[in-house]
Amino acid sequence: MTPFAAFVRAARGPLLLIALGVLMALHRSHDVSFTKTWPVLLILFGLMKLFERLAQRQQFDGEVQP
Amino acid sequence: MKRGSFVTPLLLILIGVLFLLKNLNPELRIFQFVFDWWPFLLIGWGGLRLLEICVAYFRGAPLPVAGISGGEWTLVVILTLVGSSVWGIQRFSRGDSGWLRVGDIEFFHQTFDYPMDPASKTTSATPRIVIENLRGSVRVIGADAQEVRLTGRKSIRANGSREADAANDSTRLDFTSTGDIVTLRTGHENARDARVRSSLELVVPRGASIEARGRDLDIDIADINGTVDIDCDKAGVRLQNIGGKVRSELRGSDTIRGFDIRGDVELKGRGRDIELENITGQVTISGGYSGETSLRRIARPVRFDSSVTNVRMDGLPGEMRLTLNQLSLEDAAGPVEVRTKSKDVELAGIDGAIKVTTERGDVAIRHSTAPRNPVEVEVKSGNIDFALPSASSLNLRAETARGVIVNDFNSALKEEQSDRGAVLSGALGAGPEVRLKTGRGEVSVRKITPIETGAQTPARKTPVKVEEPKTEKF
Repeated sequence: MTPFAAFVRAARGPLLLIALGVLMALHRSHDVSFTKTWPVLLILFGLMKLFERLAQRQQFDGEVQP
Repeated sequence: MKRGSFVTPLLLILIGVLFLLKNLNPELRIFQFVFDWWPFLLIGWGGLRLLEICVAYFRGAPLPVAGISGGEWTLVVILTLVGSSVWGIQRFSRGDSGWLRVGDIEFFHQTFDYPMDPASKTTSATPRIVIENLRGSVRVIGADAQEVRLTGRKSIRANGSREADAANDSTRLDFTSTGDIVTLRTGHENARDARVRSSLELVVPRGASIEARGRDLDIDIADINGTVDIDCDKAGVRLQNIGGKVRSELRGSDTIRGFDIRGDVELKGRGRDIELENITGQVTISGGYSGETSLRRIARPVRFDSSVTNVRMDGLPGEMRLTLNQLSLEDAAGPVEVRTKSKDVELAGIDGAIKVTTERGDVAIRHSTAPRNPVEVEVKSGNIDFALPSASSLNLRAETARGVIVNDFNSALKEEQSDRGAVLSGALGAGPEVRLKTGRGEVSVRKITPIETGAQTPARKTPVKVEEPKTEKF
């Protein structure tokens, strides 16, 4: 695994946490209810998984190492 | 070498500082602050972690497998659940008193006051005024005027002045008149989250009729000749000097008071106390009332119906008091009919026929003058005390299936002992029929004492006095 892929994987948790905080803050200020916005977290999680895959793909394309 | 995260020690320090501040200065609303702003804790937490990972990445240091560990996620989930449920509680509790106490934590929302611009509408002498005010108070006074004059203020409880201003803007008062109808809407339902209460004061032409609707209102109406119609979830109602019919339907009233009403009074719903005095019309009360119902000086028939008690009478020059376990009726015009499940019933000075049916409870009937109308009492379990002047004539049949009979009119009435009970029957001259029957309990037919006839007013104290002559006999 490239260091970049590892970085993406490690950053996933904090980013999700920040997103959750933002959604909750929005909910708190009564602008957008969390009951409506929660799928954003799923999308974000999926995107980051995808990004991680892409980072890993680069590894397989460029290196021969298992 | 793997270095631990900064975040956990920082969190511990933060929590320690918060508690320390709270301990040093109890006035500080630290917890309120935390519960208001915890989402930013999540953001900060995630941000710090991200920063750590970035730093590690660019330094080439080993990266953790997961940026946020399983244990941390658990903590986040708990924090989110607690935080959002506190919001939920706050929203529910943003009701009456302005604060809520959960354990040692208080949640406050500030209250902002907005004065209303005085307004008026010219009307006929007998307008119909429709008031829709979800929460707050409505005060209506009739005067010699040809217009409806409005003053009032709005208090908005919100999370900061910006939210309160927004709520104030969205709840503009709608005060219109079309023909004979004047409509007043406070539009509280437009305020999304702030809790708005409007206090309205109206001066109206004396001939006006009022229709008030709301959810939680204090209603005070005085000196009008029209009708009053109230439909409300929760209300305190006070009516004085009303010329027309009064009708109210309340799902949870605190107290309903009515004085000097010349029309019929019809109260429906649930609530606590009712107090009516000097009503010229008919009084009909139905529903469930947990407190005390007290009626005085009702000129026309009275009907009270709850799931456990039904009372009927033709008029009430005196007083009726009804609580959960007692009914006392003094100086009422018969026929009086009482049906109840579990109450002590006291009737005194009833002019007319009496019919009492109860399952559990003592029944006391006192006639200070010789009875002229039939009396019928049926009790499943309880004592019957029947007191009348010594010079009375009646045709009596008193029976108890299990218990004794006390007879003050010895010779004229005949007592037969049965298995466990007794029957007392006979006639004292030619008088009305009196039927007293209990399944279990003592029946006493006795002469009324001078104290009882002299002091007729304190009806509630009689049970004590009633016991006295009985004990003397043994």
